[in-house]
Amino acid sequence: MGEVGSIDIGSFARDLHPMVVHFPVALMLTGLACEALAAVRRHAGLSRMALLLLGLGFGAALVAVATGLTSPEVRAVQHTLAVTPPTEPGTRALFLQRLARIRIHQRLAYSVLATGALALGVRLWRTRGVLWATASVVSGLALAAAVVATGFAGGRLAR
Amino acid sequence: MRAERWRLAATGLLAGVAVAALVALAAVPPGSSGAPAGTGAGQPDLRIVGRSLTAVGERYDLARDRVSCALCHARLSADPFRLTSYGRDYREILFRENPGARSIFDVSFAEIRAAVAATSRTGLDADGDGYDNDLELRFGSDPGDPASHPTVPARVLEGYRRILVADERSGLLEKLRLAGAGHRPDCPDSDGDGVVDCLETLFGFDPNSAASVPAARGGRLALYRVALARAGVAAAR
Repeated sequence: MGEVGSIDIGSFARDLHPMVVHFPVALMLTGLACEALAAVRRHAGLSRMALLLLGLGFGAALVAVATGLTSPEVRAVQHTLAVTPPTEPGTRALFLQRLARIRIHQRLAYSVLATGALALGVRLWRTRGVLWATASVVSGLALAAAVVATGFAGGRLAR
Repeated sequence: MRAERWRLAATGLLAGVAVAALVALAAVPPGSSGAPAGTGAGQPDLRIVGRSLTAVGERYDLARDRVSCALCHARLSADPFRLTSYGRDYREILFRENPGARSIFDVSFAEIRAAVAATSRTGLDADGDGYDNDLELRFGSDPGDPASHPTVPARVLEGYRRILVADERSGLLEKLRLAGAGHRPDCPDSDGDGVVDCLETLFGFDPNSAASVPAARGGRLALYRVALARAGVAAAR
């Protein structure tokens, strides 16, 4: 790697991402919990609150993905791989492992956006009926799973 | 009618985001295949890719252009796991204290800092040159290279360290820093290596050789010099 500097480079995006990511996790999961409570209690106000929380969480997820994409980590890891020759399989393996973990987190983050959009879409159009209720439950569970998995993968990266 | 339009617009927006997300998801390179093969440009961010080096750099206030992976890796270009004696000691301590870790990425930065601190404990001399790791890093030589050590005798530097550690604990060093003691002293830099002659001489480096330069920042050494002068060290006056 040679002489490498930049010990204390500050990066706004890198520092912002770990802060922002807490919002979609908290808002979306709270929104889904509110919705479940609203369904049990048949409380219209709580249901509206759930939709609001989900919407806010979705917006926060968009911001989180944007800050994640501008984070310099992927570039830094790719750079290290680029300057590490194939004759150094050990070093390459370390950084390839890191890159693979980042990719997993990235894919899961996109799945949060996709399932979040689906869940919100379902809730915007749903009416009474088994079909819409089922769609709500399935999309809600998919969203919760995607959010939890993304948070877990991100947490492992941040260690 | 208005609510209907709003709902349609929101649905369109959500559908757009969902499609974009699915396209982006499919475009993410599978695992590691996105790794470029050529030589990259710029410097990697050490806070991310070299956390161990960052921890050492932070602990000892090392100059970013005078410290490298060579601190721990003897021949990184040939064999990344061929470590210097300091690197071996650090690796052993790090993985002994974190037995569940399979690689450096399984270890948190706090654990890395703790391992760096443990590797720097007084008396542990990785390269066996008579200057312990803490002494070498504190004043800017390489703790993994027996040929790299200050020309000032170790017992003299140990005396300096006792004074500086006491000043650190009492908060005097921080007070001096805030009062501007870390500014560049008024003396020449004959070899143009960025560290002035009076500091190089005081801490055992050759002021006429750019190859002999402490890895510690000049400002840190200037601060040490003021603290040592206050403590009555004649060489620091």
